[in-house]
Amino acid sequence: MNAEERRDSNEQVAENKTVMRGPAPPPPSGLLETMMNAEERRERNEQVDENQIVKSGPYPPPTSGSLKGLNLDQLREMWNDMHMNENMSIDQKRAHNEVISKAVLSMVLKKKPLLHDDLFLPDDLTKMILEHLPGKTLMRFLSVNKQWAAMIESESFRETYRSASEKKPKILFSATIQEKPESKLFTCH
Amino acid sequence: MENEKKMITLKSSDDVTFEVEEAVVLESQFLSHLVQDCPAPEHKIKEVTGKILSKVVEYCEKHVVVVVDGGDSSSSSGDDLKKWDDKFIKEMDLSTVYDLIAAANYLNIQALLDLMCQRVADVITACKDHKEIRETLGIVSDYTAEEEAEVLKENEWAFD
Repeated sequence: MNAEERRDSNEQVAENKTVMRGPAPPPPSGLLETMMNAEERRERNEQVDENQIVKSGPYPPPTSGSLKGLNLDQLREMWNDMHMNENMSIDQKRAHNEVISKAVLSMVLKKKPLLHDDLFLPDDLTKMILEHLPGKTLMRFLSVNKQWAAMIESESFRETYRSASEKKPKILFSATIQEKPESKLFTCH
Repeated sequence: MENEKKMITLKSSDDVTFEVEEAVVLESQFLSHLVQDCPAPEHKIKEVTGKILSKVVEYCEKHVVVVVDGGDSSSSSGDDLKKWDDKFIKEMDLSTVYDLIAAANYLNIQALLDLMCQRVADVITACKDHKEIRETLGIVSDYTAEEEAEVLKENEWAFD
């Protein structure tokens, strides 16, 4: 591929600059040719310069200001599209990734100030926390991970949970069972 | 009377010292045994950092004062204490809460342990689903997609 051809494909991709957020655009014909050439060369077991294929599209990374109005889902979608965009080089993706993930992070942190990346609590203390949760909701937490499920379903947990809940006031129900004369258990032949 | 109050020095793992009244130390089962068994003026607590120990001391001091001073009007001081507790936990991030759970467990301060565990339990309850719990508490799931779907299906009734 000569320099002029490359410039051509550059221009064509530049027109498509705004499609980054939409589904990946069909590669311009010049680029398609380059890619096909690359495929052929790969088949011939030749060294393929990946950058040569993907660098043809100038994708300036978004500025943090341009991401401001977007919500978390839109940012994720944008990131996914960027990730799937075959026309972008690794370096371009890195630049995009940095800006987008920063925006996502700041949003997530704002929403959940408790988020922390090195949280660790030993099993016995996690168990103590789980004992403070109401019984029915506990079943919801089996799906968090296997460790939680094993803990919630363990006999020792049930035991402590039962004794902890016994401290709280509760209502007792009583019932009387009536013998049913027609019951087969009591019929003799 | 004031002068008779016995003072005890606690030293954290990173050598931060706290001078507290004996009554404050007695809030902790572990420390009250320690003080009784070895009457030294200074006690090093290797398992707790200065940052966390300062929180523990703050909590115990507050609770001792209220119990001693507010003996008569127990209900109003109880409300005040609850408000104070709420403020105390709201200012903390989750990693501090976790450290305090570990410290309260080690030092055997049941009320503080309950308060902190309840705090995390409230955070968990506020999460809308298991994914949010994982995100909030930094938990990595070890379920495969199929396993997860199965567990969710089995416990569908709990999500009503």
